[in-house]
Amino acid sequence: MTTPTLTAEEIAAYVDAACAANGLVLPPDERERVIGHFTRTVAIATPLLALELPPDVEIAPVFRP
Amino acid sequence: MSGHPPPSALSIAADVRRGATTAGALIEETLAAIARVDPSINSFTDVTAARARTEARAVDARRAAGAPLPPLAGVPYAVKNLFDVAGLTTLAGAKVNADHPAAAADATLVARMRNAGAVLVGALNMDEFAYGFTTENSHYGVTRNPHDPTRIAGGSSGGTGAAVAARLVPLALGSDTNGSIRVPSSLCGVWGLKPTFGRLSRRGTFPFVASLDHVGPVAASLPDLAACYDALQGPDVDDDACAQRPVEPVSGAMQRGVADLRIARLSGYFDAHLTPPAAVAVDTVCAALGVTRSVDLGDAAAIGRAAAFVVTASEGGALHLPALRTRRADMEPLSRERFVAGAILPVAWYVKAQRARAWYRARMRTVFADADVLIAAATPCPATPVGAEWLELAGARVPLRPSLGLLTQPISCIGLPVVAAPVAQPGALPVGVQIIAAPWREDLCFRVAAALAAGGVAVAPLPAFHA
Repeated sequence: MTTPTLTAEEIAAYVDAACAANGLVLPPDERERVIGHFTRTVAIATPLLALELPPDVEIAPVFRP
Repeated sequence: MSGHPPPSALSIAADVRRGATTAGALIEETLAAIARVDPSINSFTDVTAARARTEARAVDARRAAGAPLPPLAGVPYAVKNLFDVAGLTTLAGAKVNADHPAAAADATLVARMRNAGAVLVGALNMDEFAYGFTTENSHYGVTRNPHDPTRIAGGSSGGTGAAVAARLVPLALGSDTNGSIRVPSSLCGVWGLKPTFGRLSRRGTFPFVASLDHVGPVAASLPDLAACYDALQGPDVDDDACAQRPVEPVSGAMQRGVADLRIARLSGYFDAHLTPPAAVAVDTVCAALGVTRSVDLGDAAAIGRAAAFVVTASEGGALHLPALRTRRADMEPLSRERFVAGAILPVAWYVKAQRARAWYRARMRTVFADADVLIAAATPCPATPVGAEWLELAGARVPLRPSLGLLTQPISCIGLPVVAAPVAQPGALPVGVQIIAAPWREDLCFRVAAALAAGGVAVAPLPAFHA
């Protein structure tokens, strides 16, 4: 996975589409704050998303049937 | 207030056992202290006076009958209000939970405290749904720091940290997903334990992030913390996340010293996120322990923090999606849009974060091949003023609220056990230091903590109103 280089417009468009897909209808002030939080998450996640992992690194299973 | 330090949990239990006092008398004193002091710090959201009197009578009746008393007999304690308490609605700091039915049964750990003879006196304030580090709760009020009520207590177990720091109770239970025991322990100057992920049962606690949620005790003294932890341990078939491990007591291990332990300071990322008071706390601890070695995790620490951040946002957001759709106006303004942003994160990012945790865990195993215990600050700074938005950190202006977890998130991301030790310089606010060990080695955390306590380096300071 390469590091996302998202513009402000792309983030806003993603937030709008993803909120719609999840049944979230936001007034303009809340939408702006969600975009702000999403933008900060992109910045924090950047080193994570840039990390290259071999395919055998799997999610640790915790479910015990 | 009292003119002398309040008794520890273990001394209370000893006094009850030998008949120097009764559990009933102690509980009346505790309830009176809560009524007198808590209005200034707002650590309690419920006081369970009737239950406390019933439990105290049971302890006293047991002694009167000549039956042996359990280890915490008569010890008052309280729990973060995400623990189920039979007959009480489990708020988890949320207004949207307030109309839920009362819990039908106690959480496993509340039941274990009762079996250990402890007496529940109430439920404690927290950030809504545990998504915060400050306990500035818009519904139930700000919990204030007993050492300076103009400052925060930390969070999300802020009521837990403040109630113990104020000595309203010698013990309390909290939860820690990204630092929510360690941050308030640090800012309030008390001892906190975040055990290994899966060590203690979470059954009957309101969830936040299933992949990362831990529960644990907070105490004003280290022996009390150990005794409480020992009483809480044990497998729980009703909790899939609880490891099927036997009780591994730590109370007896604390006097073994640290001469044979390889202790290293976490440098790099962990030293880069310190204000001067936090750096002094780490320096003081490392000097006392004779630590000369440091370990730099390189990019793994930031990646671990990022993984914890993404997993938290995704799982927390998904959990609360129904309320976010229909009751957003009743949700905490400080966190509801963060929950929304988390709920819509790309799934590929979440999966990457979970895989990165496995990678990071493998990296840390190599670190623990050469070190037994790692030292790092618990928070970048001491308690900040209520309402503060920004923190000056390493020459940059950063948002305060998420930054309080910068040093704890990379550790809980992979479930390592940590004792948060209170370090206070004369006349200054306390800051906590994390004592970190390999999975399931809480005993090593406690041995190092005991060395610091014995040397007077780590001590929970009394608030000024106790002078």
